[in-house]
Amino acid sequence: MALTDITLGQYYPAESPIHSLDSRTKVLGTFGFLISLFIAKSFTGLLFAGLCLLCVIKLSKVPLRFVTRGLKPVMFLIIFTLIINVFFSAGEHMIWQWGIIKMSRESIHRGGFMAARLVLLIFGSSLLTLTTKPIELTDGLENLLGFLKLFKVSPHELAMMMGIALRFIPTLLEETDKIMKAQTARGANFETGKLMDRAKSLVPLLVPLFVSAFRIAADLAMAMEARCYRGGEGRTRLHALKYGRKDLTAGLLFALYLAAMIVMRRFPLI
Amino acid sequence: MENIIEVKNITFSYPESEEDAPAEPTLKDLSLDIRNGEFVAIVGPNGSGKSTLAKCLNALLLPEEGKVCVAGMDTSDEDLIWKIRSQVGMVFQNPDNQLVSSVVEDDVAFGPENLGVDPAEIRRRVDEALKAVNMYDNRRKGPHQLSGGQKQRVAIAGVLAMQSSCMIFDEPTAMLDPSGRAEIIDVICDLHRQGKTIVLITHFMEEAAKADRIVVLKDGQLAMEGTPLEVFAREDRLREMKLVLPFAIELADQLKARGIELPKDIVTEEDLMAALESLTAGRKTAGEAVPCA
Repeated sequence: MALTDITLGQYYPAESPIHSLDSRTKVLGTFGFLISLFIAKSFTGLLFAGLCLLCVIKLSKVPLRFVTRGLKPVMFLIIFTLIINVFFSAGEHMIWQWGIIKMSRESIHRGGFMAARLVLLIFGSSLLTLTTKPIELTDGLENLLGFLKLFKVSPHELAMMMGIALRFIPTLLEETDKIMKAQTARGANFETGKLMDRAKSLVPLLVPLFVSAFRIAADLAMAMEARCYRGGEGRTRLHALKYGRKDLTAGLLFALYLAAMIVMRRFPLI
Repeated sequence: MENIIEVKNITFSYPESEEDAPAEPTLKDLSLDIRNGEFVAIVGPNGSGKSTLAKCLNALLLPEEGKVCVAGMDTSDEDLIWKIRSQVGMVFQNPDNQLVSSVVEDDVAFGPENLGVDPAEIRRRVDEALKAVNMYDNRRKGPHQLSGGQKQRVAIAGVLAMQSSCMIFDEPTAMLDPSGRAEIIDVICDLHRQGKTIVLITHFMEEAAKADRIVVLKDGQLAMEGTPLEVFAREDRLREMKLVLPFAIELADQLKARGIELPKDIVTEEDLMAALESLTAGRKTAGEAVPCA
């Protein structure tokens, strides 16, 4: 297994109006979208949200299969939600019952609704990471989390740490690969054996990895100091964040969408 | 010529670990001047204090005794520390552990960003620096997609973008393959020609031979100092310190011992090649066969 050929994050590079939005707009938009899913009380709302999301996905030029890929790790959760709701929740119009397992029209409706909402939640948030580079995301978050300063937490430091973590994932993977090979050459076995044995065999991998992580951190701190790093005070940025016309358009469209969602909560059609 | 860096009688020792007896200081009463625009190579056996000296030159370490002045600024003055570090840039040994960002151009921008430079000006400096080290086409790549030599060039661009007048290289080629090593040395020589002051710490005598002046350290003290020609003439002293002569000089010495007449000022491979070429050209016009030794 080559540990080193992984792609970072799941960014899908493309030139689209969604890609070129300010990352803060996208973070706020995604957050708003997730909330709007909880505003919806009926399938009408979810259907409308789903259609709008589909338009945005089309606009972003990200192939649909990249967006649906996000479902895989949470598939179990969705199925679980569906089963619990369909078979174990109360309802008036009974269809079928066997002991505590019962199924009613209401429970099918509820289960389908919950599952559909989860699916839309996943699609919405994957679209954010698919169209925003990790670096832009951290920059945007740094800016949006500015209020944390009130609690004596520096958002700049959080963002810097996140950025450095992203930067060093490939380096540490390479390091892991190297240590694994070195230990394998000396007879370590990472592949077979009982669960306990395999867990134990990770110790000679993790200890050197930690040591090397500390060494890298010390080196990096020295290099950052040599390049005049002294925290966020008085720092400028190469890519200054700037809201543009597109962001205003996106904001207005989102406001309309939200209004429609609220109206549909009052007047459910299905 | 004015001195950009003045080191006056500095002594430095690392905090001793508990089991060790009081350790010898790493640097002992060391003095050194570096002139503006000069290319100085610092060589010496392991543990001679080369890297420690380098870190004293831009206030990463402060000497216990004596003082270091950069362009007239004392490194022990806390208010001047950032000014000093922007004047004296540093490139480290490990190409992986000194790049901060996951995008090349963002990394080059890191220094100027810290100095609070205007975004438009940062853009200009980043492009210029990347072009100077021939990495402009790779500006959107991640460090993990680059070779060691390329990463080291990005690190150099990062210092260039800070517009420091002096650059310290702490064994920049130690972890590179031969082609990466050649790339970096070419860049360093280029920068020197453009007027930057260069301090190159190295294990490789071939690299030191390209400098204007070589400083040999031993046990934290100045053991020898002079032009490459002067230093390499003291072969016995160098051998004592387990330092080997550059290949070109060894070869020239062997040729001379076998009776081939070569000029005395051969230091680099280029010198040797030029000398041999003029020799064969001379022989050919005289109609003689070139003797094989």
